[in-house]
Amino acid sequence: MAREDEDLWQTMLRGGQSLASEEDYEHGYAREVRGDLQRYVAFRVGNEIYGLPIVQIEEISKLFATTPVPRTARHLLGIGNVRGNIMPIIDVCVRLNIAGAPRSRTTRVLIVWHKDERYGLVVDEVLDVISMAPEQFEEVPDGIAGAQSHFIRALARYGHEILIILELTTVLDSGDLVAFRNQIRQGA
Amino acid sequence: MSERERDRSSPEFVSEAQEIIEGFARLLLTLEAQQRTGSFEPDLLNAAFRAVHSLKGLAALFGANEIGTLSHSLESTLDALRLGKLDLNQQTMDVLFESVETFSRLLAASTDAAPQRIDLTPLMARIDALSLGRVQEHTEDILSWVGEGILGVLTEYEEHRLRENVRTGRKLYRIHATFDLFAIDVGIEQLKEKLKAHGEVITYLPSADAASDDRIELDILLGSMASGADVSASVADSGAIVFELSPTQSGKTSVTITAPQPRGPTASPTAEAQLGSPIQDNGPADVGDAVQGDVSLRSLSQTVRVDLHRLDHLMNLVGELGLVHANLTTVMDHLRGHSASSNIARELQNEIRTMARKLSLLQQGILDVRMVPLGQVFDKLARVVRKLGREAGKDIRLSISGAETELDKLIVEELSDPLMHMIRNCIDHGIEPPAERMEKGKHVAGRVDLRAFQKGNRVVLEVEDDGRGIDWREIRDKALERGLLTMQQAVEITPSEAVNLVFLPGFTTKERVDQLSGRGVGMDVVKTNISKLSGIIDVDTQPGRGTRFSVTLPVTLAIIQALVIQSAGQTFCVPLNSVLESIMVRRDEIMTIEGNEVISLRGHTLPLVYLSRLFGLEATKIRTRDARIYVVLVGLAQHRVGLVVDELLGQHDVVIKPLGKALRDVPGIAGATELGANRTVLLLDVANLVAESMQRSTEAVARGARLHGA
Repeated sequence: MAREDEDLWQTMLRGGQSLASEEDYEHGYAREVRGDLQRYVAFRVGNEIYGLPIVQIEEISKLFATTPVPRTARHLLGIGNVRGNIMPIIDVCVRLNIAGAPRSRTTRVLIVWHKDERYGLVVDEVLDVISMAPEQFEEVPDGIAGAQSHFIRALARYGHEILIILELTTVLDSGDLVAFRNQIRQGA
Repeated sequence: MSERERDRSSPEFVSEAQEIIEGFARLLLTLEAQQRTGSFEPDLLNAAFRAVHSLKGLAALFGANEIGTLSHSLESTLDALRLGKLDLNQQTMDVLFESVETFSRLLAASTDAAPQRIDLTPLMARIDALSLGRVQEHTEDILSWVGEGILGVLTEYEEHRLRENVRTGRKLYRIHATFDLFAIDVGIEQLKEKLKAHGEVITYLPSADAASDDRIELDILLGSMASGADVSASVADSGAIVFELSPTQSGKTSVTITAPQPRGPTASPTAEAQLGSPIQDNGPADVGDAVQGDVSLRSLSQTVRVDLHRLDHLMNLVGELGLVHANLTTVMDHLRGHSASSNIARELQNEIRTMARKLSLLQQGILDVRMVPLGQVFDKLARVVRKLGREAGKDIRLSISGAETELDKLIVEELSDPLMHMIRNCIDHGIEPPAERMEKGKHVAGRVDLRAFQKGNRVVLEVEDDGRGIDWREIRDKALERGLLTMQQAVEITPSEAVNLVFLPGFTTKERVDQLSGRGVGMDVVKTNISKLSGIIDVDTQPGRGTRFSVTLPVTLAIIQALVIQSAGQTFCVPLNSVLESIMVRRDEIMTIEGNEVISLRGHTLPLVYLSRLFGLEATKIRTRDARIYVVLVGLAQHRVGLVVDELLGQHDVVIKPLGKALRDVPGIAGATELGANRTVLLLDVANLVAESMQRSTEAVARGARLHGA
C-alpha cells in the first residue's frame, strides 16, 4: 500500500495530470491519478519475483492437465485447453533455468496474449497487482545480465526485493519451442 | 485518397467483383463454345454486357479506377458486339479472355499490401484496335420491306436483332396477345417461354388497338425458323394470334392469318404492318422494360455471404456443446445412482438423447453451409485450358463432369493450384502436337477430362488426357541418373512404382526441359498440396493411350473421422482418411531390409515405422515379449507405410483445432482435438511422418545401408 501513497505524492509534487477518470472513481480516487502508470501482475517463480503488464494477461487459472507434445523443447509442458482454446503451456522455471518450487496449491497458470495468440505460463504463485510509473524502472545492469538477460525487459523495486519484468517476445519465441525439425517442407 | 485505397480492398468489393468476373468468364466460355458451332445466343452477349456494366458501377462505387477504366472500354466493345457493329471472332474472344485475366490480376493487386503496378495500356490498345474492324454498314437495307411503323419504334439493338433474323432467313411473326392487367407479368413470361422455343423474341410492341381499362394488348415480334402453324399451335391456348410478316412485291407487308382466332380479330387481317401507328408517349421500349421486371427494388438473391471464420466459430461452439452434453450424461449417471430420483433420471436421459440428436443435426447443418460446388474451380480451369492450349498450339477439348459435386470451401480453394498443375502437365506433355496425333490416328483435338464424383465419404477428382502416356522405363532411368534410385532398386522396380517416381521432389530438375515423357513439372508440389488436404493421389497411365491422375479427398476438413491410437502411453489421433487399414502382425513376420524393418502384405513390401521412436517417446512397456504388434497402414500420395502403435482405441469424429503459430512447425503434428472429458489429444500429420520416414530410409540407402543413427 505504501507504493500507492508514493504515487500520490509524486503526482502531487509533479503537478502532472490530475484529472480523475471514471475508472479512478470506481477504484477509489487515490489510485492511478497519473495517465502513464501501468499495472503489473507480480508473481513468484522459484525465489524470484517477476512481473507482466496486466493488459497482456487474460486470465489467471489453477493448474490444469496438459498434453505433452513430442519434438518440442523441455520448457513446453504441453498444450492446454481452456474453454475450447488450445494453447501452448510454458513452464517458466524451466524456461528461465531456475530451480522452481514443486507444484503446489499456489501454482497458477497465467493466460497471456502475445502477438494475437494465447499462451499459458506456469508460475509458482501470483502475488499482487501493482502500479508502476515509467521512471521506477531500471535498465538491466550488464554485470548480472548473463545468458538469460534477453528474457528481461526491465527491473524495478518490489518492497525490498527486485521485480523482474519479463520480455515475452523472447520468453515465448516459437523458434525455441520446436526441438526437432525435419526437412520435409523444404522438399530436399 | 487513403480512404479510397482502403475502400477498394474491402472484402465486399473483392468478393462481389470476383463473382461478377467469374460469371463473365463463364459466359465467355459458353459463348466461345457456341460461336465455334457457327451461331450463338444473343442473350449471352447481353448478359456479358450487363456483367461488365455492373462491374463498372461497382468499381466506381469503391474507387477502383483501373477496373473501372477497363470495364468501361470493354462495355463499349461488348455493346458494339451485341449491336452487330463488331464481328465476334477469335481475335475478339482472345481480347475478352485476356481482360478476364487482367481483371483478376487487378483484383488481386487491390488486396495486396504493396500492389504491383499493372500496365493496362497494351490491353486497352488491343480493345481499341478491335473497334477498327467494325462491320461495314449494310449497303442495301434488307429491312426496307418492314413498315416504318415497326422500325420507328425499335431501339438500335432490337433493330440489329431484327436484321440478323432476316439475314439468317428466319421468318418474322407478330404475335398479338391480350393480358389481364393484373396478371400481365406472369402471362407475358409464359408466352415468352413458349415463343423462345421457336426462336428469338425481338421486342414487344404496343398494340395498334386501344386497350380497355383492365386489359393490355401487346404485339410480340418473333424471329423463327418454325412454320406459322407450329408457332400458332403452341400459343393457341394463351389466346394469342399469330401473324406472319413477309416481304411482298409491292414493298408492303401482307399479313396472313395463320391461326384460328378464338376471340375474334383485334387487328384486321388485311391491315398493313403499320403496327405502331398510335404510339404512346412513353414508347415501346419502356413498355418492354416495365413488363420485364424492375418492379421491386427488393434483392432477388436469397443468399448471404458469410466469412468462413464465423462458421469456424460456430463449429467450435457446437464442439463445446458436445462437451456439455458429455458432462450432462455424467451428471445423469450420478443421479441414477440415487434410487429416489430414478424417474427424473429417466426423463433427463430422454432429453439428453434428444439434445444429442439435435446437436449432430446442427453440426451437419454447419458443415453443409461450408460446402461449395467444385464448379467454382472447374470454371477457372476451363479458362486455363483454353489459354494453355492456345499457347501450346494444341486444340484441346475439355470435358467436365461432376461440377456440382460439393466439397468444403477450404478444400476447394486449396485445390485450384494442384489441379491447374495437373492440367498443365496434360496439355504441355501429355497431349501430342496435332501433327503427331494425326500420324497416330488420333483425333486432332486433344481431350482432357475433368471428373469429380463422390465415393463414400470422399470425393474423387480425376484428370485424364488421351495423350502419349508415361513410359515407366524412361522415368526409371532418369531417377537412377539423378541418384533417386540405387541400381538394385532400379532393377527391382515395378512399372507402377516407377511411374509414381514423378512425385518425388528430386525428380523435377532444371534439366528437365527434354522430351522425356515430360511429366514432372511441379508434380511434387501437387503431391504436397494434396497431402496437406489429407488426400491421396494416384497415377495410372497407358503408353500411347493417355494418363489419368486421380485425387481422393475428404469431403470436409473441419470435422474428420480419426482413429485413436496409443503409443508409449500417449494418445494420438490419426486422420482416418489416410488410414488404409489396421492390422495385427506377428513378430516373426517382420523382416529387415538393410536394417529397415518391413512386413510383407499381399505381395507388397511395407516399411514399418515405430511412432514411439519417431517421436522419441519412452516406451513405458517394452513389448518385445508380445507376439503381435498393431500396425496402422497409412498412405499419403503414392507412399504406404506401416505405423507401429501399442493400442488401437477406436474411431471418433473429431473437430480439428490448430495448434497456433508457436507450435505450427512441430513436424508430424497437424493439430489437436478434444476427446470428451476435456482431454486434449494430438492429431498426427501423416503426410509429414510418411515423408520423413521415406526420406530416412532413402538417405540410409544412399549412405550405404547405414541406418538412421537411432
